[in-house]
Amino acid sequence: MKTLKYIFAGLVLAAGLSSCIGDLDVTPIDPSKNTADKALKTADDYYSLLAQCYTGFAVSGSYGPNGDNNISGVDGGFSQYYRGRYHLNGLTTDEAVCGWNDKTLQDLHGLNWTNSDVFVTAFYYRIFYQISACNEFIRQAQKATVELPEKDRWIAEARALRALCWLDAIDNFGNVPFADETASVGADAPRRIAREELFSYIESECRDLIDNSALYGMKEAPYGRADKALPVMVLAKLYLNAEVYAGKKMYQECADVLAELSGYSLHGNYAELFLADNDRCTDEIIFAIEQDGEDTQSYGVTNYLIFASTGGTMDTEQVGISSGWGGIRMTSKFYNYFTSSDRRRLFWEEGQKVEIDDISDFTNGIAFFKFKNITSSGAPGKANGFVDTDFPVFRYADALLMKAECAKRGANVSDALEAWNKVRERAGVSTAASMNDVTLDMIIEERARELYQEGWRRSDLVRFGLFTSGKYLWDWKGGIKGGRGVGEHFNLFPIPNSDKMTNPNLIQNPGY
Amino acid sequence: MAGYSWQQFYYKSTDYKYRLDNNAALSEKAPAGELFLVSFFGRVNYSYDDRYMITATLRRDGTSRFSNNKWGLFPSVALGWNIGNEAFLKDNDVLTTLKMRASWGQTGQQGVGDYYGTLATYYTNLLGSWYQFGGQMINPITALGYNADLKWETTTTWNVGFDFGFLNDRITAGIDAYWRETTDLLNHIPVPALGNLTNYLDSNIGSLVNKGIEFDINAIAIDSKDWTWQIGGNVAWNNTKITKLTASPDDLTGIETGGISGGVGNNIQMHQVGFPPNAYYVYEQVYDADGRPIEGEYVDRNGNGKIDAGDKYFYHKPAADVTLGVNTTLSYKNWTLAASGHGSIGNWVYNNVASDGEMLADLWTNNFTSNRLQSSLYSNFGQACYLSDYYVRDGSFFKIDNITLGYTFPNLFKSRKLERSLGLNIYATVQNVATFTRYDGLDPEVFEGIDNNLYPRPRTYILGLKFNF
Repeated sequence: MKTLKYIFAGLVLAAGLSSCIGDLDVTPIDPSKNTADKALKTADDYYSLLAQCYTGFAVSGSYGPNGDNNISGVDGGFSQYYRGRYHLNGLTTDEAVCGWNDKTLQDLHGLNWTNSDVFVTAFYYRIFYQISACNEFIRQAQKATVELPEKDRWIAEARALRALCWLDAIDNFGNVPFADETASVGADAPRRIAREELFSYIESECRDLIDNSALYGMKEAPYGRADKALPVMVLAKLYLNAEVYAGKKMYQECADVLAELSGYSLHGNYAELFLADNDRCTDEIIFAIEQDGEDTQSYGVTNYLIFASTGGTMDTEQVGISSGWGGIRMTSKFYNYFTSSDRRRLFWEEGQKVEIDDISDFTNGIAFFKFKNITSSGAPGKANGFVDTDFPVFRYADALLMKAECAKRGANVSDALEAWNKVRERAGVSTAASMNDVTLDMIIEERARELYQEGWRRSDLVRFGLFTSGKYLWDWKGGIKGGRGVGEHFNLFPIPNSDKMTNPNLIQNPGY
Repeated sequence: MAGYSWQQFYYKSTDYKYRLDNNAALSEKAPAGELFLVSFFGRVNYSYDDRYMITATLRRDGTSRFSNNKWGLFPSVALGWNIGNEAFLKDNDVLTTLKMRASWGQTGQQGVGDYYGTLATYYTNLLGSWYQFGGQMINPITALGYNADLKWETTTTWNVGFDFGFLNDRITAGIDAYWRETTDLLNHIPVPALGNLTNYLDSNIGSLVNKGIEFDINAIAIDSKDWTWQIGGNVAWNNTKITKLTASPDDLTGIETGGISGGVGNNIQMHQVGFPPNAYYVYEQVYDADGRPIEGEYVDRNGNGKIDAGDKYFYHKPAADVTLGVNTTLSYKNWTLAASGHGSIGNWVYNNVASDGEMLADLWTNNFTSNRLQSSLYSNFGQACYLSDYYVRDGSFFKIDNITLGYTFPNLFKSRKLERSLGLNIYATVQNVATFTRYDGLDPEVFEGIDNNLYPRPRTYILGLKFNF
C-alpha cells in the first residue's frame, strides 16, 4: 500500500512537471501578433500580407505614423520610404534645400555625405526591408495550403513592387546585396550583385511581368493596386538610365516599352494632380502611394513634402494643415526656370526671397506650394494633422518627356514631338514646331518644371552628367553659396558602413 | 538536495482610444507577452573532518524564449580546504582562520530582448497603418524579423580564493582570482540587409573573457569597553576583452552598438575582437592652440586624405578597471558613527547630454529658440559633433554614500512585571553625501557609459527613531 502511494505521488509529480515543461512551448499572447498557423489561415489573411507590400511604401511601421517602425535604430519619420527617397533624390539637387539641423541633413545638399550618413543608411535599409517583405509574401503565398483565388496575380503584384524597389537600389546604390523569395529568413548573409547583373535581373523580371504575368491589364486594377503599367514604367526608367547603370545606350528600348502604355492621357489641370483628392486623377497617374488623414498616416511621403514645405508666412489653411515644419524651399537656379505664365509655377512667394543666404532660414528661397491637403473644390482634407494626398510615383507626363528625350538621344520615336507639345501645352507655355527645335538642355529643364518634388531630380541630373560636375552649379552645391563641383563618386551613394561591416560579401562603392 | 522551479513573467498594457462623437476606434493597442523559465537542479555536499569540502551542482534550465534551443545544462564543482583545521595550524594564535577555495562552474543567461524573438510572427497592423485597395480598407499584416537560432549565453568561471582570519578573527580578509569566459554572448545587433525582415536582431554574437582579482579586508581596530572601531574595504581589478565575434570570421570587423540620443541612428560604441565590449568608437578631435576643440576637425588616422568612417578609433570603455568600497563604524558608549563609500577608476563616460545640447545652430531655428548648455560657450560648435572623442570623458569617481550618527537608549522604559524594556535609537543619516570626480556631467556613474537619460540620484537626509521592544 505504501509503495502504491509513492508511485501515485510520483505520477502526480511527473504529470505536474511535464505540463510545466510544456509551458515552454509558447505562442504570442499579444492579440495583434501571431504565428503563421494563426495569422495566415484564410485567403483574406494572405490578401492582408500582400497589402503590407504596398503599405510599406506608405507608412513607417505597424502602428500609426511612428509606432513599431519596421526599421530599428532610426527614427520612424526619417526612415519612411518616400521621405528617404526625397532626402537622397530631392534635397541633394538644385531643386531643394532643407533648413533643419537634423544630424547630417545638411551634408545631403552639400554633396558631402559619408558612408555612415544616417539618411543614406535609413533609405538603404528601407529599400531592402521592402524587398524582404515582398519576398516573404511570395514565399508564403507559394506554399499556402488554403486556396488563394488570385494567387498568381498577387504574387505578380509583389514582384512588380519589388522591381520598383530594385530600381531605387540600382539607381541610388548600384552594387548591393541580393536575395529573392528562394532565400529563407535568417539564412547566411546575402550575396552581392554587381550593377550590370542587377540591371539584367530587373529587365527580365519586368519583361516577364509585362508579357507573361497575371497582373491586371492597364487601367483595370482597383485604385492603389499595381497593373502592367508599373513594370512598364520601371523598365522604361531602367532603359532610360542604362548608360549610367550598365554602360549601354538603350533609348530605343526605352521608347519601345513606353509605347506599350495604353489608355493614359494628361489630366487637364496640373495642380489637381497634387491635391487631397488626386486619387481621381487616374487618367494621368500611373501608380500612386496612398496617404489618408485617419487611416494611413506617416511622417513621410506627401505628409513630409507638404508639412516640410510649409513655413514662414504661408497660409496653412490654404495648405490644409495645422502648422508647417518650415524646412524645404527651392534654390534660385530652380526658381528661374519658370516663366510667370507657366501653370506649373505652384510657389509661395510672399514673405520669401529668391536668394538663399542662410539655409536654416525658411524665408530664404521661394517656397513650394504644389502638394496640398485640400481637394480640387477647395475643401480641406479629412484631418489637418495628416494629409489625404496620394503620392504619384509614376505619371504619364513623365513618360511623355522620356519619349522626347529618347528621340533626342537617337531613338526612333514617331510621336516624340506630340509628346513634348502635350506637356508644354498643358503648362500653358510655347510648343515646338519640330523636334529639331528641342534640345537636351531644354528637356532637363522641362523635367525640372514638370516633375519637381516627385523625386526624379537626382537621377535626371546624373544621367545628364550634371549632378557632381562643376559646369552646372546651384546655391550651396558642395557646401558653398555659389556652388562648386564635387567628386564623381557622389553620383552613387555609399553602402552604409553598418551593412558593409555586417555582410562580408559587400564591396564598397568607389570613392567611399 | 534536488529542486525544481517554475517562473512565469507576464506583461500586458493597453492603449485604447475612441472618438467621443461616433465611438470609432482611434487606437486599439494591447501589447502583451509571457515568458516561462523552468529549472531542475541538484546539489551534493560532502565534508570530511571539517577540513575537506566538495560541492557539486547541476542545473538544467529551460526558457520559452529560445523556441529551438530551450534547454541549457550548467554544472559546477567547488572544492574547499579548511587549512586552519589542519594540525599544523590548529593552535596558531595569529592566523586563526585559513581556508582555500577553488571552483569551476557554468551559468546561463537568457534575459535579452523580445519574448518571441525566435518565432516567425505576423503582426496585424494597428490604426494609422492601414491601406485601401479600390477604396476598400484592408488591415495589413506585417511579417516580423526573427532569429530562430538564438540560444543560451554560457559563462564558465574558474575561481581560486583564500579566506584569512587573524587574531581571533579580529582581522579577516579574502582574496579571489577569477577567469571567466562567456560564449554565445547575447546582444541586439545589426543584421545584413535583405537577410531578414528587419535590420536589428537579438543574436549570439561571440565570446568574451573577463579576468580579475578581488580583495577584501575587515578589521576591528579598537575594541575597548567604551570604544569600538571597525573598518572594512574591498578592491577589485577587472579586465574584459572580446575574444570572438561570430559575424566576423576575419576578426577585422566589429559590431556597432551604443545608440545615442540626438544623432538619430548613431552608435557610439563598437564590439571588436581584442577590445573591451562597448568600447567607444569615435573620431579623434583636433584642438586649437588654446586647447579648444575645432568643430568638425578630426585626425585623418588612416591617412587617406579625408575624414570618413575609416578614421574612427577605439578610445576607452565604460567598464571600470578598478572598483573599490570602504566602510567604517565608530562607537563610543551609546554613540555610533558610520560611513561608507565606493569608487571606480578607469570608467569612461560618453557625455551625450553635452554632445546633444551644445549645438549652437539650434539656438534659433525657424522662429523658435531653445536652450543650450553653458558648456557650449567653450566648445563653440555650430553643428553637433556627436562622434567626437571630445565627449568621451573620464568618469572615475569616489562617492561617500552614507554617513550616519546615532544614539541608543537601551532601556528607556523598563517593566519588571513584564520582564520587558523599551529601547530607543535616534539617528541622523545623509545618503549620497559627496562625489569626487573630474567628470562634468550630472553623475559619472552611468550604466553602459552613455550619459543621456539619467535620473538624478537624490541626496537624502533622514532623521530617525527606532524603538526596540
